Order: sequence, then C-alpha cells, then structure tokens
Amino acid sequence: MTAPLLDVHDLVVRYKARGLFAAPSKPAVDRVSLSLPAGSTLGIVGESGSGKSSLLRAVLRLVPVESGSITLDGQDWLAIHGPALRHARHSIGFVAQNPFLSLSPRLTIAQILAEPLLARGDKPGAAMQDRMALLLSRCGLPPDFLARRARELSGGQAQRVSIARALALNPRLLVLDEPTSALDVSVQAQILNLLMDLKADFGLSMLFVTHNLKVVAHLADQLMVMRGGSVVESGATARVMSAPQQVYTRELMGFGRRA
Amino acid sequence: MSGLVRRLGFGGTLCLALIVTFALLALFAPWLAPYPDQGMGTPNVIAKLKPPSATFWLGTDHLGRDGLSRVIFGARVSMSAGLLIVAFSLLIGLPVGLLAGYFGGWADEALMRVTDVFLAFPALLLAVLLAAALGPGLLNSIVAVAVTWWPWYARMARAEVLVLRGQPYVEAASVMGVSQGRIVIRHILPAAARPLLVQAALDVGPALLTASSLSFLGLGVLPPTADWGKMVDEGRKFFPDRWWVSAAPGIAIFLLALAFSVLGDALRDREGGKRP
Amino acid sequence: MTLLDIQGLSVTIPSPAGPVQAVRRIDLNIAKGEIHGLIGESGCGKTMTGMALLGLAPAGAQVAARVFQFDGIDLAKSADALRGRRIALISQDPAAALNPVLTIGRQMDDVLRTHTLQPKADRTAAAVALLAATGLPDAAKLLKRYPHQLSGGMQQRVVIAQALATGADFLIADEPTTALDVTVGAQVLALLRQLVADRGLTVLMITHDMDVVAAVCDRATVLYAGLSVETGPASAILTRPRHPYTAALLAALPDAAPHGQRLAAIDGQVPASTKPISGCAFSPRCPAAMTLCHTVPPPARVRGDHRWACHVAEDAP
Repeated sequence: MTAPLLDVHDLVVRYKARGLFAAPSKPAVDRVSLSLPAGSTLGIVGESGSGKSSLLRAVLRLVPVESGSITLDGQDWLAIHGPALRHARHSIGFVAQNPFLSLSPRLTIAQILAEPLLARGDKPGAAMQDRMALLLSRCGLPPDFLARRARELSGGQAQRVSIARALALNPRLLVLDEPTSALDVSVQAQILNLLMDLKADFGLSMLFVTHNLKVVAHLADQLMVMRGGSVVESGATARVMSAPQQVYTRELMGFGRRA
Repeated sequence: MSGLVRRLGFGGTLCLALIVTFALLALFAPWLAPYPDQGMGTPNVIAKLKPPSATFWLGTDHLGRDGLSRVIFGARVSMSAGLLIVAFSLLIGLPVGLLAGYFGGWADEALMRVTDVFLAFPALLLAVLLAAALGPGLLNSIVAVAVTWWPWYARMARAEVLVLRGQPYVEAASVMGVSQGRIVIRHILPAAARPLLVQAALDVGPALLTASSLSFLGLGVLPPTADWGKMVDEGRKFFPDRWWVSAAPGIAIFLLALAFSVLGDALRDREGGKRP
Repeated sequence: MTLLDIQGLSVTIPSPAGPVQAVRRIDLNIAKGEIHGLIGESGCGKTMTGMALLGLAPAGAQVAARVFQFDGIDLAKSADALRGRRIALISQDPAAALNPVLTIGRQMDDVLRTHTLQPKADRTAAAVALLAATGLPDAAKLLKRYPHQLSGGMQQRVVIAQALATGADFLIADEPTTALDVTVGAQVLALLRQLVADRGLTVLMITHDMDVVAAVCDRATVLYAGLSVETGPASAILTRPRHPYTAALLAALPDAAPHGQRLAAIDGQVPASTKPISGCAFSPRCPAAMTLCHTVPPPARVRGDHRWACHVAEDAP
C-alpha cells in the first residue's frame, strides 16, 4: 500500500481568545486525524461549529495550526513557508461555496482563469488561451465564456468556472467547501456529476466539506462526521450510511424522505 | 446626455456641467477674460471700486481691476488647489491604508499611530501652522492642507481593505499561490479605490474651501495672482458699501464647492449597494 | 374547509429590461389545519407568492388574480389588514427578523400590545407562555436576553412565538429551516407540526427541500417558472409525481441514484421571467416533450385530489 496523498495527524486548531486575561478558548479542531489515499474522496460532514471549516482552512494554510501534523504527498506541509509555500500551493485546488463571491467581480472569466497560470509563471499567449478554453470545456462550458464576467453567469455556470480555476494547475488534491450548498437541486446534480466525471477521468483526490450528508455520501469513498471540533464517526461511506454507529450521524441524515 | 442624467440625476448632471464650465474658464482664462492683463494683476487705477456695469460686469476692485477677469483667473488657483490637495492626499493615504490593512501587525500599528497623531490636531489649525512654517505660495498651501488630510484617506482605505481581505475571491487568489503584491494590486486596489474616489470627489469642495481660507488668512498665493480667498479678504475692507468686491469671488467659491459636493453625492448614490 | 383560495395569481414587476413575470399563473388551495408545501427552485416565484399574500409585493408590482380569497375575505383589498392579525410571516433568517438592540421581552411585548388591551403584567405572562409553547426553556429569563445571545434555532422559535402573539391562524413559513443546522431544523419543523395540531394553525411552507415536504407537509404545490404545475397530497407528489418537472426534481436528488452513479440532472435553464412562454414552460427541458408541448399550453389533469398540467402525463405512472 502506498503512502496516502494527504495525512493529517492529531491536528489542533485554536483561535486566540479575546482579551488579555481571557481563558484559553476551546480548540476549533481538537486532535483530528485523517488519511486520504490518492484518487479517493473523503467527505467531511458537520454542522456549524463542528470544526469542519477550520480543518479545511488549516489544510489550505489559511489559519495557523497549534499542534499536530499535515503531510501532503510525503512532504511536511506545515514546514513550508514564504515563497516555497506559494509555489507548493499549486498542488491544491480550492472551490468555495459561493462562486459569485469567490470569483473576482471585476475580472473576465479569462482573467480569472489566467490568475493561477500566471502565478505558476506561465506566459500569456495563445498557449494559455488554449489551456483556458480546454479547462472550460472539461467543466462543460463553451470557450466563448472566456469573455464574460461572473455576474453574467448562472450559479451553476459560475461554479463550473470556479472548478475550472481550481483545476488549472493540475492539482493533486481538490478541496471543496460546500460546493453545491448555494445551488438549486437540479444544478447541484449537474455539479456533482461533473465532479464524479473529473474523478473518474483524472483520478482526482477530493476533500469535500459540507453540512449535507446526503450530498457528499453520493460521491465520497470515505466519510468523516465532525461535531464540536472532534471526529464523531468515520469509515467507508457504505458502512456509515447503512449502519451508522452514532445517533448523531443518523440525525444528520435528515428528516423525512428515506431513500 | 440622457444616459448621464440617468446615472447622475438632474442635480448631479447640472453640477458636473458647472464644474466643467469652471474648468474651461480656468484653462482658457487668457482668452475668455474680458481684461486678461487685469486678471493677471495689472492695476487699472482710473476705475477703482466701480460697481457692476456693462463694461465691468462684476465691478472692479480697489486697484480698478475687472472683477470678472479676476474671478476667471482665480478659478485656476481654486480649481488646482482643490484637485491637487485631494490628489496628494489620496496619493499618500491610499498606499498607506492598503499596506496597513493588508499586512496588519506592526506595520498596521505604526501607520495607524502616525495617522492618530495627525487626526488629534484640528485639521485647519495644523494646516495654518504648516503653511506659516512653509511660507506663503500656492504649492506650499496645497502641501500644508494635503499633509493634514491624507490620514483620513489612509483610515478609509484600511477599513476597505480589512473587509476585502476576507472576501472569498481574495482568499481564493491566496490559496492559488498568487503573490501578495499581485493580490493587493489586482484584487484589492480596484475594489478599495472606488469608494475612496467617491469620497475624494466629495472632498474637493472642502479642500478648495480650506485653501481659500488659507489665502484669506494671507497664507496662500502671493499677489498679484488672483485667488478667490484672497479676493474675499481684500474686499472685506470695503464691505458692505462696495459689496461686489467680496461677493463675486465668494459666490464663485460657494458654487464650485457646492457643485463638487452634489456631484460626489450623486456618485456615492450610484456606488451605493454595489459591494463586491 | 378551504382557508386560502387562489386562482390565476400573477405578479408583474416593472423593470428597465421590461416587465418581469415573477408569478405567471399560480393556483393555490389550502384547507384549514393543513401544512401546504410550496416547492420550487430559485426564481420560480414561491417567495413572491408569499409576499403577495402578505400584501408586500414590491412597489409598482401588479398583483392580479381571478380568485384571491382568505377565509372568504378578498386579499386584493384586505391583505394589509390581515397581515399581522391573521396572517404572519416566519422568514428564512431569524437573526434579521429580530431587532438586535431590543430584548426578546420588549419585542414580544410590542407585538402583544398592538393586539390586546391587557395590562403589562398579563402581557408579560402571555409572552412567557408563548415562548414556552415554542419549546424554549426558561422562558421568563429569556425576556431579558438579546437576540444575539440566542442560537439560530432559539431565535427561530422566538420568531414563531411572535407570530403566535399576533393571534394569526395562518403562517407563511419561507424556508424556515434553510439557515439552520439539519438537526435544529428538524426540531423547528416538529414544533410547527405540533403547533398546527394544538392550535389549529394553517401553514404555507415555502421550500426548495423535498425532505422538508416529506417531514411535515400534508399537501404540496410544485412551481416552475411562476406557474403551479402540480398539486396534490405530499406523499403522492414525492412518490408518484405526475408532472415531468416534479419527477426530474426528485430524480436529481443525490440519494435518488446508487452511490457514485451519475445523477439525473435537468439540462438547460429556467426560462427568463421577462419572456413570454409558448406551450408548456418546461417543454424545452422535458425529456418527454412532444411537438405539441412547445406550442399549446398543457391541459389540466385531475385525478382525485391530485392535479397537474401536462400533455404527456395523462395518468400513470
């Protein structure tokens, strides 16, 4: 068995308590470990305050880690700093919840897709144009979208652009933060289909963070349920969904309809 | 034209027209003023303190110079003072605020404490002190006012940046490995600059009022250059019997300051609710 | 007994790009004591329908209907009078519905004072009773709290208590659980169900979530592009949908297909609300559409208390 692509061990994230004499705050992420094999998808499920977003932001290196380790592709991910980190970030693609907020409102789609390519050091030109058109077509959009702006797109189209941008540098890992929560059900299905196609075609590894257990259960190989900063339950998707060990997991499956 | 009215409203468009008129008068003063040499300061003692008439539409001053010509030439000073004060203030304040807001930490602390020091003094008093120290002259008075004004812009830019820094699209750029310099210039500056430019438009009026105040106090341009503030001061000795000497430049100051203020308001309304 | 009877409701809003048909033609029939789901995706007109019922359509909007009656009263004339007396709104974001600078007690009292002539002490007792009825613990202590000191679920309960305080018997709940966590949302729905049973309330549940419909709704109406396309018992809508759009919506749910299989996404987009519709509104996206569907408006089909508008689906599945 090969080493996992992403390995998180005993991770603790704690936000600073406000005030000089305030007691140290409870950790947002409390000794969480996870392991993501290359080519597989891990669904991280939790409600507000579960620590799922803090975990995601720690993996993205957007918040400082108090203790624990993150290993990405065999490298100590937390030991990389400065310009080296900027370069190393190219191996992670990120898709945020609301595409209209995560795509610069003032830029065209071409300018948005060019950002990661320019950051890698690519030179503008015909090759870059072709690359951007290819990225769009992989995400099911025609090349003439390059001239548009995000606000001219529908929610589903904008989220496709957001995914295309995340894939621009052929990342090893795709991190998704509630990628379908702002979308309608019928559009959500389109985006989930796209993600499943990308996974099948490119062997993409995904970290899929959401509050909606049913959504992520559809495409995740492994599930991890978080509550209050800790992991409540984790395991293979089929096992967690068919025989949840925790009452809380069952509650998260929602009310009403039973499939 | 109708598009402009739709965007700025009737009042905004009218004020823009007024500003453009003053700007044209300032630019082409030597050709538009009825007595260009008097506008530039040549005395005409045979016609001292004449009331408005067909020959001198706005009367003459204590040296017999045509009021209209003086007001037209004075527009050059007031216009450039108003615009340059705001421009200099933006030029210092915007980068300072951007850097303080984006990088935070000790840079933010240091820069904000500096602005605190400036903001602790009444702006006009500080400007008077500085202008007195630098000596009279148009450029000196502009610099004196700008030095007291830029901290406002720095504060505002910093506040904008603090909001924008947390925007998902800025975060997305950072996660992609885009350099910090590029994030500031490409993603933060364009969004942060808009409200600042609106504020700047609103501030041109008060800026030229402040500059005029300095001139009025004798800390502005040197005679014989025409300046509205200076002209009001000169006419003060003859007020109210020969009211026109002060009234013409006074009304000019009032109109131009009001026009910039209304235009700024119109721009702000347009900008309102359009947050990224 | 029918409480709300709406036939052919339309809401047209003027805009620079031409009139927007936010609601084109909606029929809605709600019996007293039922929870009626109003299902649709964004832009289908479900929220605008709720606003029209409250007399809160945007300024300049034209609201028209063949029948527009609440308990025999003409809503076109009396919506303003009924709002806050017999019809109350529970909105998606409870934090926005409550005033952040006033205590819960003050906000409850403001409502009670306009609806009763009771002295202050009795109003306070009433406020405590109402808050307790929504399942809030320590209701008396809660009166001194501010909204931000409460969790989202508790805030939503306070909003429901306020709605009860008006004495309203018809609640319009616009996505009341969307801003809440799943487990909290389930509790709020259970509360609504219980209030309907205990107090004989009637609820219009505006939602995009089929799970909400399954959990609490007795009947439901499906909207598409400002049109009511199907209405019937909630169980029938969920398990035996007749209209192809309802069927497609259910098939697009992530648990409708086996794990890892492609979902049945609906291709294309909802028609623009500024353009007129020819034939059936869903025909450009409908897998079963015939030539006829693109030109002729679909006929109304009735089977018992289940109604839908479609050329193709005459009866089965």
